[in-house]
Amino acid sequence: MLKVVNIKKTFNGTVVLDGVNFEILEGDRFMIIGRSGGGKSVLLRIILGLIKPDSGEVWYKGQNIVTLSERKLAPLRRDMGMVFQNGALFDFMTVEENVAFALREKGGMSEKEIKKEVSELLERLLLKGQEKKMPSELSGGMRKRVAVARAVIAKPKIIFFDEPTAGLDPIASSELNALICSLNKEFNVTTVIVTHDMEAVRQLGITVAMLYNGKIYSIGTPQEFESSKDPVIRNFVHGIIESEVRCN
Amino acid sequence: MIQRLGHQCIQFLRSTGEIFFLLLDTIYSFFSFPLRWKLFLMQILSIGAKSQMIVLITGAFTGAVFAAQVQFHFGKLGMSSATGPVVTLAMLRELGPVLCALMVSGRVGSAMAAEISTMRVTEQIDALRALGVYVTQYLVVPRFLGLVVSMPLLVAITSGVGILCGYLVSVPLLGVEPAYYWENTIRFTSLDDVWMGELKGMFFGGLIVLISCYRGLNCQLSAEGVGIAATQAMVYSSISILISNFFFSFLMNILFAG
Repeated sequence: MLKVVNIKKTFNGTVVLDGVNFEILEGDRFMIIGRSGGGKSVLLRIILGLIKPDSGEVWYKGQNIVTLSERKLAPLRRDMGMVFQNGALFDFMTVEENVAFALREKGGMSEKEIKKEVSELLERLLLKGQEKKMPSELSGGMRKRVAVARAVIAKPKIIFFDEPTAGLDPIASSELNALICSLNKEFNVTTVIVTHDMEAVRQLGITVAMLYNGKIYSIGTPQEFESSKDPVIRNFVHGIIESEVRCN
Repeated sequence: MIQRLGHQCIQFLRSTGEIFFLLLDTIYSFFSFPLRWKLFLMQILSIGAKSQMIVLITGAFTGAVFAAQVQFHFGKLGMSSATGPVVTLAMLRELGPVLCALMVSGRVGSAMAAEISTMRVTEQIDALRALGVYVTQYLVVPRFLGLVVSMPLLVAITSGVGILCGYLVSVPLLGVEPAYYWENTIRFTSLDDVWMGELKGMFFGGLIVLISCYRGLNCQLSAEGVGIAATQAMVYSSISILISNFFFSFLMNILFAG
């Protein structure tokens, strides 16, 4: 469905991505893991065409996203949804307007139909009664759910999540993971999740790719990662550091 | 020193080129996508309607003080009857459009840059792009049209109130003969003077939006970056208005010479 070929990206002389290759199959829940600052979010943005790589290709629907202009990318992006790390909700719109945005952009629906759809989705995401609130009035978990609602309402074929559980408590994280899982199954929407939260990987992952030193170090199932004896994978999965840290 | 100067020259040329491309993109977006009427009308309200009071005060006191100065000096030379045309021409051709544009760049330009740069810092612009929205069409076109449509009206208010206050200071306060004042004003003023001011207003409006949106869309990704973008938008808009006004006036005087 989506193929990433030899993506390279450098920022101010620092190599962030050094030849990344992988393929995402339809309906997959593809987790990209790796250390903070390792280029996971950059990779996601390159796939979505938000930033251009130094070299490499991203193939989607027979088109190389990297070479497309912003104007040509716009219709292609309507197939995709993106949940940003901090939600990136439009702060000048209410919750309802934020969620309805994608439907209004897509067109072909009456205001009544849009309102009904928004209301049903918000109810499902436990956001009933929050419709008229501004994003600044919501908690972190609620903001994440509104961002999810905005990304999924237009029924995209592929959804990208950038650190969906970052900043959430364990229960809110599990709730969000359950929601992502149910959306993936219900709509058969391909889901790409960038995270360093191994609990999320255990709960959600079908395929896991580990980014290390700017390259895909390993691709496998969550179970394979859990049982791996490779020191790089084992250290990341179990949070083992070279020097021992003792507190008290 | 030379290296720094060279760097600044390159930056200036680069920014100028990018602002020109933003103008082309704005024109392209305007003709390629349907106009977002709601956003356009909201911009007219926030840019145009809410700027009325400041341009009214600007026009009133500029016209008043200019008329007083002209009358104080022309009176000594026995040229009191020239006060009316001088004040009117200056308000219509120069002071009205330039001062109005400077006030609007301070009120609207910096706010526009701050708003767009905050959207950039908080990834809202990326969210728009991710939702398949063409950013120039959504953010720049409504603002561009909003200010280009509002500016002639704001210039008309500034100039009109300035002329009226000039009259009130010259005639009732400083004792200029009203018949001479109006007769000479009408004799030396033509519709071209009004058009020149209105065209300048539209031009300055476009300039303010392009510079402010450019600064907002290209700010550094930090709180400091938002502040810098807002300040730069106002400073560069103001400087551009003052510099371009000279060339614009020259060109207009050649075009309307006949």
